[in-house]
Amino acid sequence: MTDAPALLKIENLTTVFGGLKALSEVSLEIVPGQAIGLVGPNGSGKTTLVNTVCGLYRPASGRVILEGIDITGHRPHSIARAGINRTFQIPKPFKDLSVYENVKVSSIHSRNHAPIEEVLARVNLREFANHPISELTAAQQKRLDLARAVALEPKVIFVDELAAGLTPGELHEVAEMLKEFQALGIALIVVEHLMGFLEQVVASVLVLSAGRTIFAGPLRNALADEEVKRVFLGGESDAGN
Amino acid sequence: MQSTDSKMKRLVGPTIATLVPVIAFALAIHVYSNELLLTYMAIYVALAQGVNIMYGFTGYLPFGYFGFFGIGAYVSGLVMLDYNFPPVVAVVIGGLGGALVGAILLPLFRLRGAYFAIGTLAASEAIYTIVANPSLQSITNGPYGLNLANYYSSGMAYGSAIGLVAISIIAVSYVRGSRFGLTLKAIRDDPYSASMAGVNVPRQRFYAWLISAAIAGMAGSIFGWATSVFYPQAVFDSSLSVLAIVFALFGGIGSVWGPTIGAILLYSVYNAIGISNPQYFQLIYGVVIVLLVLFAPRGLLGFWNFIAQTLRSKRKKND
Ligand SMILES: Nc1ncnc2c1ncn2[C@@H]1O[C@H](COP(=O)(O)OP(=O)(O)OP(=O)(O)O)[C@@H](O)[C@H]1O
Ligand SMILES: [Mg+2]
Repeated sequence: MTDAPALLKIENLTTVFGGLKALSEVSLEIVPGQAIGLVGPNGSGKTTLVNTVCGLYRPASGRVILEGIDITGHRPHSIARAGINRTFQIPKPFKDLSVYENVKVSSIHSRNHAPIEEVLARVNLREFANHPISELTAAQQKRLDLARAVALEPKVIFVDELAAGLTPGELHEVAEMLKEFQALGIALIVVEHLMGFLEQVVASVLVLSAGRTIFAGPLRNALADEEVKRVFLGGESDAGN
Repeated sequence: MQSTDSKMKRLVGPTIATLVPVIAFALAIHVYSNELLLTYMAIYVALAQGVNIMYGFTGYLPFGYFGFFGIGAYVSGLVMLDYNFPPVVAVVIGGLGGALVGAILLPLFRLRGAYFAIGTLAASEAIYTIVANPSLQSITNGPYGLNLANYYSSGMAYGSAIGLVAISIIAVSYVRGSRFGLTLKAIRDDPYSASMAGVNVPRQRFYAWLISAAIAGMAGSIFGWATSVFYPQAVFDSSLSVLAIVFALFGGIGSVWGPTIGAILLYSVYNAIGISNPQYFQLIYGVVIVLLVLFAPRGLLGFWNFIAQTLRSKRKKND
């Protein structure tokens, strides 16, 4: 544990869809440059946490605090400008714009007009700058999401399954990329199923199951935790004890 | 970091796109003497460009576009009649009136797709009902419309219409080439992604809507002035929206030239055959909208680009 003041504090966040509590009293704290893994089986609420923090859904209760300021329920663009950004599990590029223009949209609205070429280089998309989106693979489109996020000069980025479907070589490349962002002081919350990938990037994890936190702590301990093992190996049922 | 040279180069296209139609309209009057018809044609070019800003850059189809047009005709007509404003100033005030109503109708943006189209239509019908209401006769002259015969000047009205053509094309060129336009395109592609790129989505849409409404307001003002005597149903006419949308779609939405060409071509056709059988023409235009949206979303200009590209790639292969 570090004793630096928290950059982002998520307190007892709860999100409800109709009768379904997709997220239930989840809390998390992260300091600048830290990386935390967010894991859990399908449907456990990982993306819902990202969507709620980033203003797509309004939480039923709980708070999101960035650098001491309560931004719960703020509109998405204010949250983004305040310094929280994200990528999408299913990439969401601006499909009628070129790769360069996609990043330019963020850069225009960033405080210091982030240099677009440089941002593209950071996610290995520089040589695609003038290409249309349709020429990118899904993995490249996810990196473009990341580039757009980075161009807004964020303090925290939620990375939603960036590694899915990559070859081992590409996985290593993406892990290095994320570590470089960390080195710049950006905090990362990495949603991921692939443990091998997570090990390269994060030291600690938050494990969700059916919207609840079932573990928070060092990744190594998580792998040894009985309940975590049960959730991952024994199906997705809640062993309510 | 843009060199002034490349900045100048980027101004060439918009300048030509503005000057060619303006000069063509200015010369047309010496060839074809029906000035009122040419005035209407110029008004339709401006309306089609207004639709272009709205639909081409935000994806919101404003079926109720005629509401701004009618408000413009009334606001400008009333400031002429009641306060004796010179017509050209009244036209600008009519544009502001259109924009003001646009601001009032802002909540319609909560509606998506077809609901927005229908919502604007309903709002404009409501405005018409209010303006034409006999109980407002002391202000709007109710169902009897306005008589601007004292201000009639066909030449000045035509000149103003040509000026509005220039304004609308410059507005579209600006939107296309600017950061504002890039932001609008991003919003059109994915509003939530755009907001995570730091874009205040409702505000940017609102600006486009205001520009578009102001153009319609000025177009309505010039229409009223040129027509000189009009009933409320003549300026609050949903077929104005239909025509403007068809012209813009036919020529090619999102481009600078498309709506200009679409409006000039189709309005000529409309006058050649449509006037005698208007009911069939409405029907045909309805069908044309559907076909265009389904099969040629980029209109004539999109089709042209497609052919040009195909030819170019063929030539490359042959080399
Ligand atoms: N917009 C929504 N409306 C209704 N239910 C939703 C919505 N979004 C998510 N859910 C539900 O909330 C639960 C959590 O979904 P979520 O997408 O957060 O899971 P996840 O952990 O990201 O899963 P995965 O690993 O498959 O991406 C699921 O039961 C899902 O069906
Ligand atoms: Mg998910």
